[in-house]
Amino acid sequence: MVSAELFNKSVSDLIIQIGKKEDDNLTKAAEVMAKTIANGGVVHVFGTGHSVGLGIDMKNKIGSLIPIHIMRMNDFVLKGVVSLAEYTDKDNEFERRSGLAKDFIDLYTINPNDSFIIISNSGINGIVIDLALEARKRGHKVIVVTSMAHTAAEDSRHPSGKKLYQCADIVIDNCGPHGDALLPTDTVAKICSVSSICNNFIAQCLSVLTIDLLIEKYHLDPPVITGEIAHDEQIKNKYSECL
Amino acid sequence: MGRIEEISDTFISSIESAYSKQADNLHRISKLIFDVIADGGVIQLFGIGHGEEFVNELNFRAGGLAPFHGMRLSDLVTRGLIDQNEIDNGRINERTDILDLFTKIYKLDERDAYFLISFKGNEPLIIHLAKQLKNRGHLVIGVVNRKTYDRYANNEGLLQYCDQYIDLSLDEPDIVTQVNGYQITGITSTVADIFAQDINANLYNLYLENHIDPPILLSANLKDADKHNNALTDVYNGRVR
Repeated sequence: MVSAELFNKSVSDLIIQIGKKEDDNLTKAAEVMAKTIANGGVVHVFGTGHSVGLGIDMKNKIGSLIPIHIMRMNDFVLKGVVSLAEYTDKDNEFERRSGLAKDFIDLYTINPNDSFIIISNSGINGIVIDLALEARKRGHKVIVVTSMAHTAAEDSRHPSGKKLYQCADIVIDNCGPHGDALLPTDTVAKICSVSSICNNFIAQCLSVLTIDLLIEKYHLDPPVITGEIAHDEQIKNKYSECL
Repeated sequence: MGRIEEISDTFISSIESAYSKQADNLHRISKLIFDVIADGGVIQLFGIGHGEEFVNELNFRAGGLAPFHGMRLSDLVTRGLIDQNEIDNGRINERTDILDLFTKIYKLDERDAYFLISFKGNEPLIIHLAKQLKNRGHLVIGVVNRKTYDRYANNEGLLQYCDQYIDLSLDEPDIVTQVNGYQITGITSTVADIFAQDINANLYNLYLENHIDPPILLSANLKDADKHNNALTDVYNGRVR
């Protein structure tokens, strides 16, 4: 059976499941983020495809942490690393490729205290695995958000054979199903995906837990957007080189 | 109660409350766009700011349906038609020529209907886009958070030019929690995502009621998904991808 009511109820159950099952991992990830920010660093967020949503949901809202930087895949084109034709080639999906992480990281100002959040529902594609390996090689902490059910069921597309969760310091399972869609149908495909919704919940948990730690553990005024323009601009200017 | 439990309670109660207010409207709008699809139209999606999450949720999405197409400012950037700085500094919201630019890079059709998403609904860019589309006879559906819209748009915003609209039905501001006096907001885009998926569920049932096979896309990260998805999208001849 497919219905909006069933979908909404299932999503609520998933949110409760993430909260209970991933409590420790969310807390550990927030500790990494708080330490990064307390030391003057920035948290770089990268997701491909629909996984871009987690980073977007952490930015530009009242209460959002300012030192969050979204790494955009289209920067490969904008900064001249690859051509638009190569980037949009349907027969060689860009996100599946490996060997690009060094070029990608080098597009940005990355400081030693920075950390990374890398999001991929499947966790099998070349570019995210490459980025996680390169970031850890350079000494950065890497938090991964993925669907363990999906990644366990598919083969890696990276030459190392590794999956994204195997290249992380902390792994957060978004608890979504294999294939992302939730409700069985009369066809071969399920309908109504959940990963974006689960990832938004994870994003808000990470933001709130990090702010808690910045105040309670590090005794800092958290660098968040308050809506007071002068205050917010002053903090943004502090990070202008990295954001 | 711990922080995570507090946040999950807020999410769940917000989702339940918003859906209870919009369930009938979502069914009605699903029926309207099903009719557009059945007549050969595509549902075009455009969102400002966090409204882009609604676009992503319906366009070429695992467990989604084929006849949706996302119109994105980032596509204009990668094709050199606008500058990324315009988006970053917000000046893009003042532009009134965005439909002309989209027409250069997308195959837009007179049968198409449009979802335009802006939680505030007060940006000249999206207001002008809605006006142009309505003048051209398209079905235009706004997605706003009504309390936010009423605060910022003052009845002179996006909804003036929408035939229908979805209200995300949340408070303004959409507070998730408070930490030492800091307001932490951010549930509106999640409710938008939920409503997008609710539309998918409603459309699926409408396909079945009308004895049409629902064109459900698979995650591109499943074996053989590319072949399945290409077969569903190729029939639109470049209009949805």
